[in-house]
Amino acid sequence: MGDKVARVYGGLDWVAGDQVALLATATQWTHTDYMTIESYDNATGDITFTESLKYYHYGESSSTAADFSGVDMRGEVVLLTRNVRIVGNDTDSWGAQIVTSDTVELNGVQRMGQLIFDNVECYNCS
Amino acid sequence: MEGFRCVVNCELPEVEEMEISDAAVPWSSPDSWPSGAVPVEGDEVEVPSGSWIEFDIEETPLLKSLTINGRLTFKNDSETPVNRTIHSYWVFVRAGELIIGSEENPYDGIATIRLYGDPNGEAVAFSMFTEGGNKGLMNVGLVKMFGKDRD
Repeated sequence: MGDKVARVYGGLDWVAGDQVALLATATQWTHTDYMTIESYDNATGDITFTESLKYYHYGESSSTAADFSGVDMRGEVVLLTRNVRIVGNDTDSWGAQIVTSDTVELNGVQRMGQLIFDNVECYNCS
Repeated sequence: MEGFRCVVNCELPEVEEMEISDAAVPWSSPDSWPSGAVPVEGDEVEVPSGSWIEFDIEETPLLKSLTINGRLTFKNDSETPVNRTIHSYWVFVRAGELIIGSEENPYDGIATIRLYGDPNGEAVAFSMFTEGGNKGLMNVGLVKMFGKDRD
């Protein structure tokens, strides 16, 4: 809470401007923080965000020490940014949508929609 | 309360399907389009059946719609990656294909499809039986998009 830093693994390809989500680790499932990276130290894995975190995120790797094989309860940090994007323009918070469907046209032609997304980001979608 | 089954495209004209050309033609060339002109703002654009158009510009004006009955691919240059954006109220992949990058060669720049519309916008119907809403990437054909793997 109020922090602008977090530590993840070093050696990632994360760069300034990337968006990440820090998932909720306490009792409120809504307590996910969406952050923008200001800097990432490739050696230490230290991230500085452009703004402060709003919520608490737990970060100890062996939460239960020797008990229960030291269950790892760290909050996930998820990289959201991708270079192929489907974006909803922000109008009245009305999201974009992606629909893949089968259909039969009036003349009887059948179409079967197929979709492959690999590392595709959907932003402002509903 | 009033209900509308659909507002536009209630009865889509039939597509006369042709085999897709072996060679791509550039989006930026007027010769690539049946109308003889590169799409401008507000156009209802169609990539016609049989044609393969390569999206080679950085940005479209805001299109009313983009219907793909042929093939649309994004031009990719690994040496000098280019960011390309399609602006449209909706994109409808019907008897065609929308392809960005490939499994072997993911797209290198930033490829964006930016969709527009509000809660009262026109809905798209695939047929009399299927409706797709608005502000969407609607697909009853083939969509393949490959971005770069991050880690």
